Amino acid sequence: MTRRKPRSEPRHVTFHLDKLLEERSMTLTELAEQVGVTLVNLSILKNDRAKAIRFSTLEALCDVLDCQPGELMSYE
Amino acid sequence: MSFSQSIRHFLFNQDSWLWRPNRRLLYWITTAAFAYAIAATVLDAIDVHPRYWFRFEAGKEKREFESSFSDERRIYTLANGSLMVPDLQEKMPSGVRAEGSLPVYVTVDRSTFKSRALTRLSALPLDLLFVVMIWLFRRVALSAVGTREAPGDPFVWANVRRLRIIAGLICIAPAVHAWSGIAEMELVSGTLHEFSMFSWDATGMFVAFGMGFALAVLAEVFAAGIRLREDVEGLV
Repeated sequence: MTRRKPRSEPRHVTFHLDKLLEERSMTLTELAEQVGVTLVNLSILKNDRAKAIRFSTLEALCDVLDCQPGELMSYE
Repeated sequence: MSFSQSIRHFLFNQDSWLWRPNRRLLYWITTAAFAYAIAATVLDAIDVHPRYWFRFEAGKEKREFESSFSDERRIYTLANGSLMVPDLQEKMPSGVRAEGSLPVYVTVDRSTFKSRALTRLSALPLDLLFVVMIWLFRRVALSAVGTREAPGDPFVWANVRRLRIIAGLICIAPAVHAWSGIAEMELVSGTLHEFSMFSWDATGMFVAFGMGFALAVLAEVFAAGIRLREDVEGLV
């Protein structure tokens, strides 16, 4: 009897806002105010429900969090 | 407010009744249409036929309206007039050309099982087609019209599916209609003998295909709109 191969989970882009916010002792509300994005949209980003991100939003996030896009997200 | 101002208010002011989403009215209109379609189907299934007629005789100023239910099935069809009345063309006034088809009502002889089955089979497929189409249209219309507090949203995947099904049903309607014509011709052939004739409505078929195609395009426009909205909603 052949064993079935376990189905691999689909990979997707994941945001690490939680980790970055914790490192910088910031809340999501503060980040939303500084970046100029609504709290609802940041929550969508944080919970990996976003389908696309504007370069302007990404630049603003990197600017406020003082990080590179690669630190903000990963493909896993 | 003058009459012209009232008309202008009714047509262009968003507070007027015309602009207000009236879901309740739409609900009852579509429910009545659906109930009528169901009733027509049930009556055809049990082979009972309502008849309404309005008679007006111009000379006598007499108006009559009669309605009745009967288990007698009459079929409206075309008989070959040229064969029935060989001198039909000669009886026509000058400048009028007889086409040969004569509209007639034929009472169906339902003494055999075959004729009883055919009376139902000639009517039921079209009835069911209408029932399904009215139900789907009703759902699409009700999803589009909401209330002021809860506006309707027609751009949902369920409506795309419904519109695709309606488009498909409209496209197959001429075939179902042709089947009804064939079954009815078989039913009346015993009475009409060699005078029975089958007419095929090519214009109706093209109109149905056109409407079906237009609805299929509309369904894809809905699908494109929904995809676009999903993308925009997920854009941060």
